[in-house]
This record gives sequence, structure tokens and C-alpha cells, in this order.
Amino acid sequence: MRAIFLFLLVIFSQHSFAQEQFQLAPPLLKYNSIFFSNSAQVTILFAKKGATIHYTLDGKEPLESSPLYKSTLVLTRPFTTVKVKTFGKGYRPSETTTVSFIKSGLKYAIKEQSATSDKYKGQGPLTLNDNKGGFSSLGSPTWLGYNIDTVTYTLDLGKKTSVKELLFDFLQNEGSWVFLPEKILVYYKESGDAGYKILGDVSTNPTAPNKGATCIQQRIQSTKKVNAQFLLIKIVPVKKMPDWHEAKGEHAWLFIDEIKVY
Amino acid sequence: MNRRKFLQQSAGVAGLALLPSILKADRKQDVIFGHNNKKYRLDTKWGALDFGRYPVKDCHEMVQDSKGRILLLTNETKNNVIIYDKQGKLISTWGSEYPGAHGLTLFNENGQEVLFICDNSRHQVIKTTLDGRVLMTLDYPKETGKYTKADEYVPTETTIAPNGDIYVADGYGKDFIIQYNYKGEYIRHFGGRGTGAKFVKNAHGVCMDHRDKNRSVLIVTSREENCFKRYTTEGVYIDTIPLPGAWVCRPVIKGDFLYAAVLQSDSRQWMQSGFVTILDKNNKVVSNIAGSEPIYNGSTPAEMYQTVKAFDYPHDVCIDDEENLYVAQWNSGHVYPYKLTPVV
Repeated sequence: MRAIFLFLLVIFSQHSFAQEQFQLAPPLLKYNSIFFSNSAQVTILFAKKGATIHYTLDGKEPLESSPLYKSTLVLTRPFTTVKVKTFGKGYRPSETTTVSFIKSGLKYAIKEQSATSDKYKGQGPLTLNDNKGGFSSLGSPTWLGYNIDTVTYTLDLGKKTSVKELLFDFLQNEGSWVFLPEKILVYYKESGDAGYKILGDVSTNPTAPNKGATCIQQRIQSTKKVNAQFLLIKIVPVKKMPDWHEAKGEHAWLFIDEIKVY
Repeated sequence: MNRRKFLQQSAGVAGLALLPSILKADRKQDVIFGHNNKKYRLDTKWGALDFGRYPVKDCHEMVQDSKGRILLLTNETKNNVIIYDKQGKLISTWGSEYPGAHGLTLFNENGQEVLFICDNSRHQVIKTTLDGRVLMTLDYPKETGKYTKADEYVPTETTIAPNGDIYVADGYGKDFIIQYNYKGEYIRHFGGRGTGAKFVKNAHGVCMDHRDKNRSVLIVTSREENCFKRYTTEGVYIDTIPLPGAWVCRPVIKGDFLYAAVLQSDSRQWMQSGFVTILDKNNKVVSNIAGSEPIYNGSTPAEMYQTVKAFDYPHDVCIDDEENLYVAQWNSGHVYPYKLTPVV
């Protein structure tokens, strides 16, 4: 009984204690791109006396006991998720900032692609595989923006190549009408003469609103490795924004900056 | 874990958490904000009123009059102007015809204090007495030749020169600064959007800077560019004060210092990432309240950002005769103004 009382006392006092404290803001992350060929360099800034930055590279939530950030992180693994949080005496820890860094995949040429909007054209024909991007700002010139019903790309790997997985980088900024796609479908064929077969698909259902702006990676994995020279990709944007959105019923935007093939 | 051990640990933690000295060190009111010789304690309850009787929407701007009273402008038409004493006690309210109330400037006109209100929705600037009697209304500036209808003009701020000239910043319209004489007659316009240093992007604020006794200049906010731009009183561009990372609102000058609410950090847009910045007489950042420590390697500060989530979207700062700061916030859950007291 006494234990329970004390336990409740601890919970209660810590709860009211927390309400009495300000929360720290997340730190500032600086990098050239989330995509890289050899290594990605990530600098983390938080100019506040007494506060420390802690991070993880294994996908776990950072704790005060997680590694202390001291200098630029150099990442070389094909896919690394960096999670960062600030801590300081007298403050509640910040929310976690999560950014994933992604290594180049196979080279490809883009044979056909849907026309982008006039305003969000990216940086020319190589935009989808130029290792540039991963910035959550709407104004980042790396984004290709679409407000059409289906976005189609045909990729040419140059020769018959073993393919296992595709990775897409999208922007999610629902406040600015930018939604993740409803569906992505990927087809492949071995050569120009063959017919397309399905490699895989993925669907998203925007049920609850997401705040702010984030880069989101979506993957499509084939159940087994396939031999392909051509990949046909169909991305279906949200045609009607959901009821909770201030512009419900309007056509959403789709923002993409990179497609990786592995 | 056996029961006894659990008990010991719980008692230990509970004892620690209840230890008054530790609690005290970490309470909100004991947190010290800012840097160098501009440090403050924050009182988030200062302006709180009975929301049922004296509601607010966005708290846009604040000024202090010569009686020491603090005037708040909100776009809540139940009481567009709320007048407080310095302790946060309500004195009076007025105003129901300013649905787009945004900019509030006080000017001493030959001994009589007057207000200039910029209304975003009415596309007008309205000059009133301190108790709300309308003295003059300025409509959209067709004399400039840049506007075809009132809707294109969304004034956000005014500043008044010692001779009575009125400068209006069209911060949500076409970003021009329009200069009138004291009678409201058009003189000239400058700023506006374009490519080049003399243009601005979101001319959200404007103020007269008399800190250099030999030369008064105008400081104009270019909020989306994260900077202030200086012009002569005739509208000739002088130079830029870059403030990387900071979506600065209007500049407010008191003594040798320039204060500005920062609506948000550029690195975390539309995520309640605001703070308050303070520049010295050389326009060098000396303190960021709830923001990063100012770091200079050369003449431009390193990118600035929020470090403590004390504010959502600060929109204006008012400095009273005792050097206290008041912060009004936009879109921050109908929150009343906060007060910051200097730590000496």
C-alpha cells in the first residue's frame, strides 16, 4: 500500500514538475543532401549553453544516455536513420528530429515522364536520380511538383539488371496541400519486346492530419529479385483532400525528388 | 525487483522530486532567457483576462502611451484595443470595426498622442485618438499607379516621421512603402518586389531609426528574406541587415537597441518556432530570447533558430519605460501577451 502511494506520489510530482518546465526546441541539422554516393556529412547545431545533443543511428529514440553529439557525423551505410534530440537541466527534452540518409542505387535514364507543374520543375531531366534533395522546404529547387491524377515514369536501366527494391522520397506538408500518394505501382520488363509484369505496389491512407513538413521515404520490395531493363512507375496522388483538411475535396499536390533502384 | 527494493527506490526518487531547492531551480519563472546584457525572466500569465468577456484572436501589436499604459491591438472585433497597466491589470477596451487589425503605431502629434491602425481586411490605414475616435482614413494608394483596386493593398505597418510624414508598409499586398505627408497626401513610394537588394519580400514592418543623431533612416522588414533593409527618408536604399534564419516582424527601437519579434525559425517553418531578437546600435545581434546564442564569423550572424519553446509565433514586441518587454503573438491559441522583466 505504501509502495503504491509512493509510486503515485512520484508519478504525480514528476507530472506537475514537467508542466512547470519549458521544452527545448529540436536542433538544427545541416547537410548537402540526404542522398550520397560515398558518404553523407551531417552537422548538428544547438547554440544553447548547458544543453546537449544526443543521437542514435539504430532507429531507437535518443535518450540522455545515447551518444553525445560532438562533431560532424559521417555516414556511409546504404541507409541510416539519424534521430536527434536536445537535453538540458531545467527543461523538458525536445521532440525528436528524424532524417534518413540514402546511398545511390543503380544508374538509369528516364525514358518518359509526366510533365511537372510550371512552378515546381526540379533541376532538369536528372532530378530523380541526381543525389540532390531531402529538404522539407517547399521552396527547395529539388522538388518535382504535380497536381495531376497519375504521375508516370519509365526508367531504362540500360541493360537487363537484377532489381530487388525501389525507394521514393516524397514531401509531406499537408498544410500546404502536399500529400503522400494514395498508391504507387511498379512494373518491370526484361527487354523492349517483353510485356510489363508487376514488381510490387504500396498504398497509403491519409487518415489523420500530419503537422509540419517532412521528407518521407516509401519503399517497394519485390518478393524475389527480378531481371529488368525497364521499369514503369505509376504514382497516384490524392485526388480529393480528406474532410479534416481546410481545403477538403480539392486536388492535393505530389512532391517527389528522388527514385532509387537497388 | 522485490517489494522492499522498489519501495526504497521509489522513496528515493519521490524525496528527490519533492526537494524544494531542486524544484525551484527548474521552474518556468526561474528560467533566464537571452544573452549578454539583455537577459530576462518570462511571465506567461501577465496579460491573461477573462476570455468570455475580453476575448482575443491574434494579438498583433502593442505600444505604450505617455501615461505608461500598454495598448494591445487584436483582430477580435469585440475589443480591438485592450488597454492594460504595466502589471497586466485591465484598464479599458474599445474598437469593434477593425476585423483585420494588424499594425499599431503611436505618435505624439504636438502634444496629442494618436494611433495609426493598419487593417488588413479593410485595406485601409486609420488614424485615431487614444480612445478610438477616428481622425483620418487612408484608402488604397491609387496615386502610385501600382494598384487597380483596394484588395491589392494589405497594409501591415506604419511609422511616422517627426514632421508627421506617414510611411505605410504594404506587407501583405505589393510590398511597397508608401509615403504621405501629415495630411495624408501622397508623396512617393519605394520598395516593392523585384530582383535586387533594394526590393523586399513581405515588407511586414517599417520604423524610423533616430539612433544616429546625424542621420535618421527608415528600417523596413523583408520577412521572407530574413532581413531588415535600410532606406533614407526619401526611399533610397542604403544597405541590408541580414538575420539568417529569422522571420523578423517589425523593428522596434528603444534607446540604443532594436528589438523584433521573430515569427518563426526558417529551419522549422509553421511549427511554432518563434523567438525574439535584440540588436545593438551597430545592428549586431546581442541576444535572442528563446533563440540560439548569436554567433558571428564576420559581419553576418550564423543562422539563428528557436532553442526553447517558450513562444509559438511572436508577432510584436513592446518595450516600456522600465525596459520590460511585452510580446504579442499571432495564431498561438488565443494567448494573451507575455511580459519579460530584465535580469540585472
